Amino acid sequence: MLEPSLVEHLESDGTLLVGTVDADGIPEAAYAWALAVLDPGDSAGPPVVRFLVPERATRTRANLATTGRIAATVTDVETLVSAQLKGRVRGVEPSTPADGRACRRRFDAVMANIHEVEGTAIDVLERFRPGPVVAVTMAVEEVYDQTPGPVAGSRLAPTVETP
Amino acid sequence: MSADTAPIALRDLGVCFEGAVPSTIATASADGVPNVTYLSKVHLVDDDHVGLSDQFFSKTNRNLAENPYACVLVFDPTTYDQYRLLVRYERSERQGRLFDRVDRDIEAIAALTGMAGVFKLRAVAIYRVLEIEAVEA
Repeated sequence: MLEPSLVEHLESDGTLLVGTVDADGIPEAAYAWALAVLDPGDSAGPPVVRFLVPERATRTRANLATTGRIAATVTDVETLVSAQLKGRVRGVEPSTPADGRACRRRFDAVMANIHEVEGTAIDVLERFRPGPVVAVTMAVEEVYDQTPGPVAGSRLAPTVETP
Repeated sequence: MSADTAPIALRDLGVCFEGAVPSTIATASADGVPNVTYLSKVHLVDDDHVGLSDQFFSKTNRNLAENPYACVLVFDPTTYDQYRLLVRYERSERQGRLFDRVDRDIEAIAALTGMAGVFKLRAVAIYRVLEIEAVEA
């Protein structure tokens, strides 16, 4: 189960990295956007989250279709507090107009944070804006603290077996 | 990258290795579980190799012991152009000029982020760069 404080972090205006792997074991990294917790999980089932992956992230999308294994790391731009979810894809579907709005809003908020913390010009950050996206639903099996330092890699939530 | 695009040389990406924008590394365990995290800095070693500091990347290190391949994303801090490096772990260095340079860099970055003294460099992991690709903006 994802505790409320963790849900708040996962849905915050931090950066979202997604790691996947192909059938030959070659890993892939990509940025994703607008993670939302659909279900924090309970004894009846694992936590489920949804996020948006750029269509142009072709390797990531291919990996989701083949191996389906995902790592998703959310990092607070200012504090570097990070949490990593590990699990499996439940579905990939076309994004909705609401997804598009959520992606734009989250992108703007994340970039505003980076601008404030790092001083990077907004027009430079604008180059990073994702184009069309697809929606990925993920069943969460494990959660780890990924904050830089000695505790990085420690487990935050127990493993949940997925059906 | 299209077939008629000129290949990108590691040396062409020098500005990406200044550490101004955090890089990203994805690894995978032998049983296919990915791991993805930030790197404060990727170090240019020579025309074919990069170095990554080994501090707290416990899961990353365990994965690389099982599966030597990693995907690294680096950024040009002036344009935010993004590059994808497919790399393969070769060896670790625990002393020498490269180790000392990386150790100094880590202390400098740690001081800037309020984490002075937290990071202890254990080794510099050397990776051969197999592919370089510009990520479409």
